[in-house]
Amino acid sequence: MSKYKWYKSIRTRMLISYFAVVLMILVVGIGGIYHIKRVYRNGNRIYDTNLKSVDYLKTLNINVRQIDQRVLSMLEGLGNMTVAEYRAEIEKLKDSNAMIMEKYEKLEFSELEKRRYKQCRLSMLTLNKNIESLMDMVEEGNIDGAKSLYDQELMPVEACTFELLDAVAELATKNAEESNADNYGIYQRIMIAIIITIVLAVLLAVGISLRVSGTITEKLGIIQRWAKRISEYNVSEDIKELGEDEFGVTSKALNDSQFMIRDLVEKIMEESTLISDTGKEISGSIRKSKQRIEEMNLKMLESDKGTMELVNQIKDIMLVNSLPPELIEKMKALHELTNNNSVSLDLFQEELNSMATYMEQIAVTSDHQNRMAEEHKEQVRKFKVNKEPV
Amino acid sequence: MGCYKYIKRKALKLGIILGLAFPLVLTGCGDDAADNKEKDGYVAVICKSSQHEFWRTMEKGAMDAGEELNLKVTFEAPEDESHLDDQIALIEKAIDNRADAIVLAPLDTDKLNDVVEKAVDNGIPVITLDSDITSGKRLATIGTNNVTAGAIAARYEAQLIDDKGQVAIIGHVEGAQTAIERMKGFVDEINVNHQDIEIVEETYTGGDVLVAYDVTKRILTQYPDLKGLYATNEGSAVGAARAVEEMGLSDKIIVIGFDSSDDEISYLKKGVIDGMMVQNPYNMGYLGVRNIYKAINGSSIEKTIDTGAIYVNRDNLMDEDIQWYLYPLGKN
Repeated sequence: MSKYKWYKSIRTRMLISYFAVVLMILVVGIGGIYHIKRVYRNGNRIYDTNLKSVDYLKTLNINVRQIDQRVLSMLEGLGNMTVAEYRAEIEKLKDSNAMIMEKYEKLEFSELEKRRYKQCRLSMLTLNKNIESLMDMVEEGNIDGAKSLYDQELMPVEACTFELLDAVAELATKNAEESNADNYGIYQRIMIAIIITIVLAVLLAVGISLRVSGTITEKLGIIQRWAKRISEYNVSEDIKELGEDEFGVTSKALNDSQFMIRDLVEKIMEESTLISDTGKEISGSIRKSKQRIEEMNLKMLESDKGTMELVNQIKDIMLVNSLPPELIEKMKALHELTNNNSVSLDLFQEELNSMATYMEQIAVTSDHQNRMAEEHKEQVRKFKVNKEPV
Repeated sequence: MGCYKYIKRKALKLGIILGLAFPLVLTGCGDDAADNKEKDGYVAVICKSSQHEFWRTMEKGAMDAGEELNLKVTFEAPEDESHLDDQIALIEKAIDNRADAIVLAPLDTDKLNDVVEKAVDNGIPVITLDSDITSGKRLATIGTNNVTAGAIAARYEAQLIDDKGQVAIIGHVEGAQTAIERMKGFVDEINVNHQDIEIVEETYTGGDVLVAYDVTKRILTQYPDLKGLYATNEGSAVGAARAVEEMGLSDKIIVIGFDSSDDEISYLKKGVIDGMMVQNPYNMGYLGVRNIYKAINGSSIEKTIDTGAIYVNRDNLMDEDIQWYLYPLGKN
């Protein structure tokens, strides 16, 4: 006998299966979120270090070029500015550079970039010293000396500074590209993981659905075949064991019902037979009694005729005037008694007729009951309650 | 088989698949291709010597640039700075090996012109480092402005000997442009701005420590009133410092050197050397390879790049910037 176990039910299995799919998606989701966070952090890092540093280096480069332009303008006497004004502007640009360098140095960058930057910083310091010397010369009025210093010393150091600024910027850009490539790699891995998960989840879902629907269809088929047998009055075969799930419980209930039907069929058969037999017996007995009553009735009719003759004879006798009054009186009493007797006989006869009619009705009813029972038996006989021998 | 068992079996299989697939998917596969990729060019770096730390630092700069730019960089040098023929042979070898470019620290300003021009005629661009040649066919020169560095050294020498007295110059390789310029810068500055100072001798040591030691001893003996020495490279400075220390003249003689080997720094700390002009050989090597790479890729480059020089004494020795100058590769 099947016993329902919740952990073996189809619903639980379905829930477990879908939970597995959800868990899988969840695991990938959490992994995805973690990697997306990595991408986000990488993005921030690229901005905070590489891009900011490239930006700072670019500004330094522009500032150095502006200083160079001011120095050249000062040496060539271009513009309407005084030497002091040029110096103030150059100092301002140098201060700006110092500030940018201070900011830049606070950034976190690779050891190699740090080393390159330090080299660049030293070159910028040398350049600053050369600019100081040059401006001193200009202020002293030694323009030729300053021009010579510019050509011989300042320009080559500037070239070195630009080269090193470029080198650091290239390195920072390369680091940014590498970080970005790392991000791209993470993105690709997330995409692959998502695709694999979707494919696996779909395969799993399809597999589970096929398996579960297969199980349901198979068990429904068994029940369907059972129902077909029932429709063909075959209640002899129980549904086979369908496990401990909802189908198992249902099949057990159906088998119990079938057992009840089988039991009922047998009982109906027995009782119909009994009813049929009893009906036949009653019908026979009643008909025999009716026949006897009819015979009695005939005898009664004959007796009534005799009584009527007797009454008439008494009447005739009474019509004789020679009879003493006492006798007449006695004849009158006898006539009345006989007459009454005849009436009673008529009444009795009527009653017997009526009884015979009732008995006929009972017999007819019994016949009908008998036929009904036979018909029921015929119907119930259609039910197959025992397995055919194999 | 029950649905439960089926799912259980499938779940186990799935777990194994996921267990194997996810680490692979989430960690990604290594890319070994990067390690074996072909280089974008071959640059031969030929220096004056490999004896001194100066050249080893330059080699490191060149190699770092090569690595950054994906270039094959070879570093070769004669045994010492007197073997000019060996350097010519190395240039010839680079030409034969079909180098894409040559970065050269020439031992002589004139005697290398022919071989450099031969290289250029063979389509091999040349950049000079540290010192230059007279041929106009080289693309650029990268190094210290030695005249300026010499003049700065002279100013500190003058300041330390109170602007008067005798000084001697211990030069390195006679005929080498660096020696000529460093001496010229020093001499010009003394002659123009410090006229109470007398330069009693200008001599050459070939950059050899022992020769410099002997020469210095002789000068110190010959000029007992000598107040200062100016040595134009690492070997000369170390030889001179050793002689001064041995003769117990550390307090009397002001020694200004060039470059920054461990020996020189040690003598600086001991007070034998009073100051030194420190160049940036790392940047020379680095920028040399970087610029030749730009040149072979068709970009324009500056004709002259000054990698700078800085005066180092006991007062600023421990400054962060100075430390970076002294130890571009980091302290050992």
